[in-house]
Amino acid sequence: MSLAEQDNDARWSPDPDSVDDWPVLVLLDGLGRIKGRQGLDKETGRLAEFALVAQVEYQGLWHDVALVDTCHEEVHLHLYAKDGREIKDGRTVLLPVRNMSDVGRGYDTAEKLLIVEWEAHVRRWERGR
Amino acid sequence: MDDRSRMRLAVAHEVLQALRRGDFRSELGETIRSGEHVIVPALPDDPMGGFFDKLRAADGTIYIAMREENGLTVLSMSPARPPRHAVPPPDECPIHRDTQLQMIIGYLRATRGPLTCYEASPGVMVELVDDRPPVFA
Repeated sequence: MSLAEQDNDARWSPDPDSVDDWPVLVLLDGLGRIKGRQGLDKETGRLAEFALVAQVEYQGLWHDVALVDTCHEEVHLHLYAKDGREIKDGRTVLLPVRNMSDVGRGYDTAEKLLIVEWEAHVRRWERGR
Repeated sequence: MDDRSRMRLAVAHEVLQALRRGDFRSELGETIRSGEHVIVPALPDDPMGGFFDKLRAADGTIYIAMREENGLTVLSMSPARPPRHAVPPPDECPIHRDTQLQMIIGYLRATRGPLTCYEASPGVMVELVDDRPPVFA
């Protein structure tokens, strides 16, 4: 592999000390809520990492249904079942993170995925598969 | 999923996109005790009662986001400090639970200032069941 190819494949994550947290709760009447966290670069204010989780209320408690985050230098989706376990094959890599722009692209993909597929995610959470 | 839920999700999508902009985030600076910024994607005819309930549950400022022609309109709702005197200030405004959000936004736009309001209880009639004449000793 050439040096250029190696550089292209190099994954990226921010220095934890260089990020400010901006936690958010988006309440969706009759549907559930989205609990999120934006990690913003202290110098530029750009999005450096994030997590967005779709939750539904069941028996008085909030339960994770679908989560997209930037852990392990990748943007990936996790899907959960009603009993709390992660659904087998429910983890999908959406894109690798090589720079801050990838985090922004991943956020756009993530929020659309949670919103557009809301009903499907909740059905899968109920079925457990 | 019903149409209202779909429309609410569409507003949520706009909110999540707007949150990428620093100017939008800075307008939503207040948090609840847990440190979270609370945003409620709303429809113009949503009744205010639901927002009063959410405000009580959050115990801090909540932001209500509604889509209009020119984009998102955001309304902040915070618990008002109790008045320092027994007499309430003259601008206190009763809002009924079934008042629609768009009416409040229209009013705020017309008055161009914050509004101290309270949730009006439904009218209550009281009556003695056993309406006997008073007994004097």
